[in-house]
Amino acid sequence: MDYNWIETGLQLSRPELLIIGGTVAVIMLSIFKQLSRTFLFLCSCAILIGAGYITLLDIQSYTGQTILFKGAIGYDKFSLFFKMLFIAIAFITMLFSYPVIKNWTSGFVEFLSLLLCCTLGMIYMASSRTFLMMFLNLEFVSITSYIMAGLLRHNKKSIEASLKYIIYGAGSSGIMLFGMSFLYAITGSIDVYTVGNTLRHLDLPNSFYLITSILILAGFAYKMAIVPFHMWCPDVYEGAPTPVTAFFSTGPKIAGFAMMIRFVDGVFGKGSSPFEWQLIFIIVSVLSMLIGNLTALQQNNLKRLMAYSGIAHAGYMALIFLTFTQDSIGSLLFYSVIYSIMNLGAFITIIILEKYYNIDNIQSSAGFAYTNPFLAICLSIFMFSLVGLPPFAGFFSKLLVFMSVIKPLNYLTLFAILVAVITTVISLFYYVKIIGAMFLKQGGNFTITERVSLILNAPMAILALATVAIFITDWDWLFEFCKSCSL
Amino acid sequence: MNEFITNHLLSLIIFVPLIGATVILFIPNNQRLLIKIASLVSAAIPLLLCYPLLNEYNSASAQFQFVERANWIEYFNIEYYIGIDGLSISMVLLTAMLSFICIIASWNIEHWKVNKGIKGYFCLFLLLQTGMTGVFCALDFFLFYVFWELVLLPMYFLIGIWGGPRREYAAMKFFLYTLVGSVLMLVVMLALYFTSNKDGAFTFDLLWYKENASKILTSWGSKWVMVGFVGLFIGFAIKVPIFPFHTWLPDAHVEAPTPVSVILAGVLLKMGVYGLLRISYCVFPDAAIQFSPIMMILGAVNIIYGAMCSMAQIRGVPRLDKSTGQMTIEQDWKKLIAYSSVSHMGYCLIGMAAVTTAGITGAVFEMWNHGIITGALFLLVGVLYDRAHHRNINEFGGLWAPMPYYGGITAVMFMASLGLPGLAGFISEALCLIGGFQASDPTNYYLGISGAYFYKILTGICAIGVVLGAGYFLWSYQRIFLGSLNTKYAGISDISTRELITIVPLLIITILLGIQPTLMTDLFINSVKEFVSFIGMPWITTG
Repeated sequence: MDYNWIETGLQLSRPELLIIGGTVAVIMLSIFKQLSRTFLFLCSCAILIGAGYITLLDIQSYTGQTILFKGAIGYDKFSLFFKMLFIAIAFITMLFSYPVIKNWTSGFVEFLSLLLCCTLGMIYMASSRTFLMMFLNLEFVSITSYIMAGLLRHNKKSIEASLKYIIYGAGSSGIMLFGMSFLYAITGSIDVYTVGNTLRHLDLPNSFYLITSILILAGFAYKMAIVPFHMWCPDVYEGAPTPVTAFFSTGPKIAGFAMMIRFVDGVFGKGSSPFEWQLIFIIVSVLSMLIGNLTALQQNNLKRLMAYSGIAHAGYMALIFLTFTQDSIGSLLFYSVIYSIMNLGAFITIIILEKYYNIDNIQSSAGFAYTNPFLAICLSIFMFSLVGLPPFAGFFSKLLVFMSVIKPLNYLTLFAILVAVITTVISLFYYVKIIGAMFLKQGGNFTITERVSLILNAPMAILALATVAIFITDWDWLFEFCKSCSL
Repeated sequence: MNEFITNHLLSLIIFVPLIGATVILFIPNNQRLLIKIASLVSAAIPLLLCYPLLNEYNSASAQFQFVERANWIEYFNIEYYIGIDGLSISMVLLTAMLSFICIIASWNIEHWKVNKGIKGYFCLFLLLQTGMTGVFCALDFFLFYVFWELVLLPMYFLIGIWGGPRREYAAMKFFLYTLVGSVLMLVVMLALYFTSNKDGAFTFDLLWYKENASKILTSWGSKWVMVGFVGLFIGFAIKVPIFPFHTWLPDAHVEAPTPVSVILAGVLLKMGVYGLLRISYCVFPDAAIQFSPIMMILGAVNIIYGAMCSMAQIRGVPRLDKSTGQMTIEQDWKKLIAYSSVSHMGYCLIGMAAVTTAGITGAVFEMWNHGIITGALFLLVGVLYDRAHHRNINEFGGLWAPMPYYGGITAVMFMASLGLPGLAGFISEALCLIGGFQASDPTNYYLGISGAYFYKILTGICAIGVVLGAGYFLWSYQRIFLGSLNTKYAGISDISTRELITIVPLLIITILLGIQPTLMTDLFINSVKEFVSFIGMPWITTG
């Protein structure tokens, strides 16, 4: 028997192995009561930095495509890109969650190790090539997420969030599995590319494609938080501890997109396909943009507002499936980088507001800008960037998606773009509502018990700076890099 | 060093205020005087740089001058491409001058009703200046768009934080209206980008669009060219503002603090007219010809409607205060002047509908004059408001006695605004009307009227606007300055030296250009001639 594939596979998944080993080590070390929380936190950070460093080395040198573990894992620039992105997201999340979690009575080590586990799951989501791996990793990410959402055991909202997440998650992944079984029954394979090749030679009725696509989409769309599988999103975002929410709004969502891209690329492929699957995406993305933006208008709670904003942004990202070319995938990768920067930044400001000033809704933040102008300015930058106004990076990420979609100009793409553009204007209203409350309204006094931790302020400032800097400098290297990483 | 300045004159004019704003950010909050002086210097440098700009500007040429060109985002062929010609040089001058004056006008910011930190105010103001100057210099559509949007953010905060009682509403309305317009502009911009082909690559180069306007026409088809024109038109019309997109303007003007109103009326409205001239007309000249009668009608509506609204402020407009449920009679002097801006912008539209040499000269000159005159009027309103803390036309009376200098200056500026011969406003309005009168297109019928008479009839209607203008300006002057003195204001102090410094330069320019308008028109006459022959309205005889 030839066991070479195990050796190659393990060699190329060093970052993953590091994370697995590190997670176990963190859990083991937590047994020793003498070790301080700071030490454990630093250990987890070191693991992520190490994994990120290895990935960085790999991504610079590697070109080509390798299939690991007998087809289960795809090792290419696409998966390396997401590996890098997810490790970065996890690292930033870990950094800014420290001031919050260090005071928790329980759940400190759980948070660290679950975050590491979840990152591992997300990395594998982006590199799965078979239905089995896709399903397993989706569940991996989901189950760790359920626990993370419910980490505040004595908070009813946190428990509700966790339970809601589990029920929705279990339901939608069950439906997805059902859809996948259809494809397996027809083609006899679980490898997405083999399935796609086989399907192209079969003359199947459109209804078959329609039913399977919708069933499978349920699982993906639930992770991406796209309408009509978005219902869990606001409640979970509101109930979960805020650092966890920040993580949910970026990591698992982007992982869902990565997996979706791999799936569509394999099963339907770029270019013409026997079935007009793009129509489904037009519907879900238009609905997401409309429902996300319109519902966000009425929100007062900051985290709920960010949840709907996340749904709307998922709608913008899903636009790229209308064309699904190398260009549009590249623009999605670019979007996910910028979106992570803006969203994590916005959540850091929300964490500070919540932790130090006890503000969790728009109303009570009235006049806040005169208490902490630095935070208010950073928040404005993130909000304007989320709208997509120049001179902030969010403008380019949105523009690139629009540009990649508008190119084969027909009535469908024009319709989608018009909806996107109109909802962008609508979105201005609620993002600016936050800024308006802080700067324009007269408000009460905000007392602060301790100084805002540098570990929160510094990443916030850096992310805000990045949002502006990416706009001003010629960022084409980033886009070209994203494009070179697209499938 | 000297060479650097001459080579990057425009860039310096654009970005010195931004650098100044960054420096101010690092000055501690309690150093109030230092902040003010720093912002004054940052606004003065662009104004001083306008001197070499004017010196080296060759008015005999219709070409773009002081061109700077560098790659910005190579992948998408987006360039940092700036330059000015006759259409924009007056606007660059106007922006530099008004911004400088407004910094001086903001000197008493500590005494304003809303006192919320002066550092933010001056930073935002300088950022605004960078955005405005950039709009007038950009020759790359993308760069233009970026500067256009850059103006939005500081304006939102300036109105929203330092404004009057309804500031939040006004700021949000301004923001939303303009964003709707710019989003339409964005869609047309992308469509243009993807149909362009400059040496085999897509481009945002506005001059390329102008040179290849006929190519765009053939590739888009006349129907889609019209759609594109209307998209851009709405985007710019919101800024001008053209009826029915004007409703943000009275709110924003009334709520904004005085210096911001000056910038709004003086420069921001001109961005709309400038955008129409530079982009809509030059990229879609064919659609502009088709659109000319509609533009003419809109111009007439603007003039008459704006004037009527101003007039209504004299009589008083009943308004329901939603928070208290009380009916109040609104007689706001500032709103009167805000609506008079709508009316005056109508003259620009008539000149632009005609696209004759007289018409476009009038339109460009009106842009400048309106900036100077209405800017001064808003400053004058601010002077009285700072003393009386209200602007109700009816509650004053006989102010000439305690404030003779103030009354005199206001009289001159009112006369200039209503178009008295000998002052600058008359020349430009007359030129616009002459332009409208020259237009005639006997081959077509509009609204059942032969094109030979259509333009003339509408121009005649527009001329009524001049009479209405005289009406509301003279009436408001009468109510405020003449009659018996309201004893409440017997001890009111006359205009101060600082206020004189802000207004007198505008006064001198108004009188000087009224006597010798060629000082200004010579700057852009050649560009205007080139523009007129480029559009080529049917009534323009070539040669």
